[in-house]
Amino acid sequence: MLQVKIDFFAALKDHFKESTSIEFAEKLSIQEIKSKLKSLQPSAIDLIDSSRVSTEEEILEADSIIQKSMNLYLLPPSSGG
Amino acid sequence: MNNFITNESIDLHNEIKKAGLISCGAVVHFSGLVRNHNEGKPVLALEYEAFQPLANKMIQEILDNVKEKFSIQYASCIHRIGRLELGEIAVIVVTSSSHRKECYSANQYIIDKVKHEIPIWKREFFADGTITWSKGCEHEH
Repeated sequence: MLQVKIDFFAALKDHFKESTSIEFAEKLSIQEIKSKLKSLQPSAIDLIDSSRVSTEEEILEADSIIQKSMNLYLLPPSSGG
Repeated sequence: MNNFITNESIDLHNEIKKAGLISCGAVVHFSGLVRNHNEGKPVLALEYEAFQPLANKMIQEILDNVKEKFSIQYASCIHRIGRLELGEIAVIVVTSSSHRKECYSANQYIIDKVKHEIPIWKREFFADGTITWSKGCEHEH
């Protein structure tokens, strides 16, 4: 069984703890990860839809596939400046 | 890697001084300050949060790209995190180049990119006691 740990930021922390983990058998798409998170917290559906997923190194494309245990980060829309 | 995210107050004059290269006839600086209102409501303070490893990497990439894109000699960007009071500098962008036109263009390009793309978030503390995260910019997925 593989595991993805997802860290949350900013407004997402009003809906989730600092992080959560999702287990999966073989591979998982970014969209599937978002769907699982939306089922865990329906109040955050719009925010999850508008958020990007990243590693510590890069923003992942929406069609990226996760095939190993790793740490991901859910980034709500930027509001710096 | 440089650290473009800081908990410390931004020293405006020091940042501008770094851009004063002898080959450059133009220096442009933009400062984003904490203002006392938003969407018609009085604001008391702001608080910024960043995903620092990725934010630093992405700002570095923007600065590297902008030097090539606009043929400028110097570009920097520093963004505060933590709680900021009214009038404090939240972000500064400094560019320098031989001439002003590309210097202005590059500076605006950097702040637009930083506001729209970098994983930094702002929380507003309003005078009526409400505290809300700014909705931010829509991203393409």
